[in-house]
Amino acid sequence: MEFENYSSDKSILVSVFCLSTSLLLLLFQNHLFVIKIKTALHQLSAPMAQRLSGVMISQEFDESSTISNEHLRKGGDSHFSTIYIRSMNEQLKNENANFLQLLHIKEDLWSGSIASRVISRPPQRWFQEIIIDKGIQDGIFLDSPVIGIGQEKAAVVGHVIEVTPQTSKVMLLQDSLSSIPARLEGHPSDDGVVEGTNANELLFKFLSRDSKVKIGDLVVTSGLGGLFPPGIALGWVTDIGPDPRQLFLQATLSPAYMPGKLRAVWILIHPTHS
Amino acid sequence: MKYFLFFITTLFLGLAFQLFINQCIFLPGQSWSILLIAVIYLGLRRGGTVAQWMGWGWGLLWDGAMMGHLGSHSLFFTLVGFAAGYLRRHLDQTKIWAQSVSAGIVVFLYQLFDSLGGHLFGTNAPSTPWVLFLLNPLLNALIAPLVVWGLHLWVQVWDLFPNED
Repeated sequence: MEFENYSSDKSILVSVFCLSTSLLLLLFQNHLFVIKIKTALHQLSAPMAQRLSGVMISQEFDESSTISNEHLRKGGDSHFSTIYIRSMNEQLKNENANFLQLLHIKEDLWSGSIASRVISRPPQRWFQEIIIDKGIQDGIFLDSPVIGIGQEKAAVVGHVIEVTPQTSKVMLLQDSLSSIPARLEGHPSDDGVVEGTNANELLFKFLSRDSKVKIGDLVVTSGLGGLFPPGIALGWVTDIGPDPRQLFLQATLSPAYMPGKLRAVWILIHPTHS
Repeated sequence: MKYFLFFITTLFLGLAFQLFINQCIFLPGQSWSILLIAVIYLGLRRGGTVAQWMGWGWGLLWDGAMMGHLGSHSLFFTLVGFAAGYLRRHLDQTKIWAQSVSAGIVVFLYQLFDSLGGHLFGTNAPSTPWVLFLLNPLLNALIAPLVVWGLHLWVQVWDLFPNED
């Protein structure tokens, strides 16, 4: 078969076939058959994405170990090596503290949680979606809350919006379709809703005009609606002002989790599911 | 058989390369559309038929990999393959400027299509800031000759299109 010898008629036939199948798939995207095809295609690419994300993580470990080994080999520069090892130790201590905090949330609020790795993140939907390497087979359900590690606390990352047997898609907190009931930490009556903006900031809406909110305050989940357990960090207040209709106060938040370093997350399993 | 192997290997290698690029080189909102540039190359150098098949296959795989709307990328990539094949006789595809300009235009259109698709199918539009909306086509135009060169070498290894160049 020589492609160059294809007549224009055959080329048009190919166009018709490819375009019509694409359109049919789009039109019937919620049909079981199309979902099965999509899942099968995803299963084909998921191991590749998993392997590549593994490469990334191991590269990071390799880089850090290479640096430390080089410094250790340079015996004359032992002072620098000590500083380096101390800072690494500090970093590990902090990470350990963060994981312990995550464990507390798990024990205090919901009994089950699953650790998962981020295997894919569409660049054009950087603040909207991630794909993780756990799915139905691991006990993940639709709407399961996803948490990560913030600067000082465990923090909300988003919730599961699509599950396949081995992977799940997570809608991030910053997606403008995301809306989570929230309150100011330490002020249970100062509650509202945290919404995404499709950028690296959030909006804390519907705050009462006599709210005590101030810059630097932490906003946490209120637990209303039952999707997220109460008390998990959402973001830090960076700006306050009236909302466009002048009826409520509205605060701009910086997300509590670190979006740039999103490598691993925890999925909380609701007690009724576990 | 050789053609079939070429298609399958190129499909999966292209997908792996795109996934790798997405994970390694990133700025929020910035993306390298390697697959799109590859479809343009195949259309301009190898004809519309091969470009449409590959575009369709890559589109479906990409929709599956990203758990997006199945059919959206295959639709756009097929259209790009068709357009590139149509322009084949009107554009000197060996010129670097032609590769860059076509990649830039197509990436810009792709971003528009992606935003429109989000609105049409009830999902969210991509969070690309407008600066990157303009910068992405330029960046992709810059790397297009490199991608084309790599793909050209890959196609030559297979020796499937002996009379092409």
